[in-house]
Amino acid sequence: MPHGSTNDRSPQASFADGVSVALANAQLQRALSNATTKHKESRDASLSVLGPEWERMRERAREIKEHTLAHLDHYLEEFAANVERRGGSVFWANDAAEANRYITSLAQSRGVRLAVKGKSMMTEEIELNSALASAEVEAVETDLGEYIVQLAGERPSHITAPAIHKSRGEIASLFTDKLQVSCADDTEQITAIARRVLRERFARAGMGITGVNFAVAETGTIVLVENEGNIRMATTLPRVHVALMSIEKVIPRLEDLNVFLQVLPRAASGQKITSYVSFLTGTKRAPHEEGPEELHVVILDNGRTEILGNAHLRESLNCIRCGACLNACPVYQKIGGHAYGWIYPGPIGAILTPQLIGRERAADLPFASTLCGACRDVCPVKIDIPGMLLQLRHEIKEPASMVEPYAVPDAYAARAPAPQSSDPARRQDSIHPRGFPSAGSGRGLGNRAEKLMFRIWAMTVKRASRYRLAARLARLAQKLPGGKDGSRNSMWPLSRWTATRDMKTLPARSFREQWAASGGRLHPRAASQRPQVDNAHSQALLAGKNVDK
Amino acid sequence: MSTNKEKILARVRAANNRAGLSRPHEPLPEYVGGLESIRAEDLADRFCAELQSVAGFCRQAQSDEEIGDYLTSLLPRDAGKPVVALNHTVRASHPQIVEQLTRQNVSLLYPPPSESAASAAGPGAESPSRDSRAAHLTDEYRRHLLDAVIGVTTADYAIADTGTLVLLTGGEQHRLLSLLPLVHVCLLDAGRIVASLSHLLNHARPKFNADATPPQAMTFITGPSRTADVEQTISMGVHGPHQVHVIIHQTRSPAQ
Repeated sequence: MPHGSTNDRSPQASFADGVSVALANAQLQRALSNATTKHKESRDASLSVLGPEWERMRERAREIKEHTLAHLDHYLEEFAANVERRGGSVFWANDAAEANRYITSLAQSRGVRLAVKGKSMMTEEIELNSALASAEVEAVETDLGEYIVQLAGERPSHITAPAIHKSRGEIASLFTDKLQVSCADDTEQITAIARRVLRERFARAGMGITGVNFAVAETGTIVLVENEGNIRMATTLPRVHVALMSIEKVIPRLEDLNVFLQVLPRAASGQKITSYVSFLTGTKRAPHEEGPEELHVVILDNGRTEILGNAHLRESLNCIRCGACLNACPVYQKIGGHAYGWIYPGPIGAILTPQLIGRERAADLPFASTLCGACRDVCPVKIDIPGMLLQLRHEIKEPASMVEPYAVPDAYAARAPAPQSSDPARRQDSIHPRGFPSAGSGRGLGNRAEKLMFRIWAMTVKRASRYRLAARLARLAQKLPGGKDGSRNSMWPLSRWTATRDMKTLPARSFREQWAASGGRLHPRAASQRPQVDNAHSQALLAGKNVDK
Repeated sequence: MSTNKEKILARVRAANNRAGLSRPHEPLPEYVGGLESIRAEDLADRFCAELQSVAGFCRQAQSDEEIGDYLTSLLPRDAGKPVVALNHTVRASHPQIVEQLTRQNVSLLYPPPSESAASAAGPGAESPSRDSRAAHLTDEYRRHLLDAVIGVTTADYAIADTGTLVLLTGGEQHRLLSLLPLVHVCLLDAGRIVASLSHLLNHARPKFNADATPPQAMTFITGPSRTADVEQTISMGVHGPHQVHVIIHQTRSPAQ
């Protein structure tokens, strides 16, 4: 069952098309390289100060998340009860539609015409802005990056740096066009204009809408982390504050923030702490106090309980949305956020999107990875993203009836993912309708061919004699016209593989043949031709001696 | 018919059972991570160094006169009669600073008086006229605050390890004072500096009310408002203050 709505805004027809567009965009390539390099430098600098403490923090953060998920019902009830005890309202929403309905009718009943928003992936996920717009409530993004993206009619391309794909010049001309001001190609001026324009919105807005970074069960406190101050504005000035959170945002105690408030900013931007952290508990206690009169916390499932029930994938719910895996990912670094087709880009998007909107609608994403593991290494809560990518590949490739337990508890096997739809209408619904043939349906021709290839490969490498024969045939084959060294293009269907990968040229004679011919001493002159090696061990190696201890 | 809440909680329980990871509830074990300890006499210096590393300004002052001089030096030269907003604690405990500012041709702005609403009106005693009067005062104050060039506040706590100011609601109204003006100046009592975030969480805890209710808002402020959304170039003052100045003075009253 798809949970998000992805009705319209898919920026390109297919994942492959989106990738091509991104790769051809020189400006985007510069921006991505610049941003991800800067991020890595500041992150590394902030972690090097910590030394081994960083690993202990990550381990602790993960421990807290796992504990909380195992007792999620307990902590959610405790959190909700404490919000209500301190004057807030809690609305439980099964899905996006229910949350949108609640918030729009709340806005209407309070006469709200303008809402100011803090940056929130959750509101992106449920497309709250368009729901509000259809109820004639204007929702203005106030995080500078989100505001830029909203003015441009686009969507964020990074979890923490939404306008990473835009150049300063583009932003300046966007402001000049849309805000009827003259804006020079200058960061300070862009910032000053945004400050002036958005201040006026803050002063007028009847509702402030934010996400939630952490929801503390023992106190009912909402924690919001930011650098700009727009969230402070949105949670202080308007009369009504609406905070949206998915169920996995809850943590048990205030003191657990000791770890999360240290790992989140370090992983996200290399900061020790962000400029602002707001801890908001209930509504104001006296009329003269500053702050909203009403607090509405919307707790959303929107597909999370399905993820929670999958023993292999539930750790996707540990994610604290720092964006570190995006910056570290060699694929994201080249293709940027929009190519991923939905709101969660990068490695975390490749595991969240198929789970949240349906595997059949985002079947390409788990395959868009080299499995290098950089995402896992930088993750502040140690999510095994490569492991889950493999799991999702498995689930997407195998028709439901064939999903083997895959070292999975029996309980899981019984609720294997929905079969991949071969119904064309359903496929059309995909965020990448014309996806790679490698992904998608488990029953397609491409899939059968791939299986056959791997079966032949397995048979070949299991026997030395077959392997030698295959190697000899391959060396012969590369002498054929068109298949020679230099022209790497194989014939269809192998060309689908070699279009983006170089075939290695095989040497004229294999190692085994050379070994046999040399009587166990390869290139007898090798040692003398090499530069002097003063290490006895290396010399022994070069001389072909057995140096195993 | 079950409510949404019941449905969602039931799904959570079923999911945890399905994944074989449902456990009887037990509390989370304590974290024994490395806690950096900073010697008491080093707290102020460390606070300053950390704040400066995030583009904040920090200095230590020996007297109110020195603080007053510093504030005066921050006033814009060309702004006619600039508005300086102060919280009530500054007015009450640093009268000399207020006097000094008054001599500088500035207009001083304070948050609307809290006592009228808070002390006179118990629960249930909020008459509509009093409410609307409070609302009117609040609107007036906000309008003027938008014009203020400097907002001066105190801080309830500070964290040395990160250069962070901690402001609580309840006693004082400084959420907007520390947010709307272009320059935020904080008068920080040296006795209110704690070593680290975990010290703060432990320290602030008992100060919450008897039922462990934290204040409606606890705000951490570490340096100026900043953004890197334009080509990853850092720019200050996008929504909040462009500059944050912290003046540390020696304890006149012990930290409560």
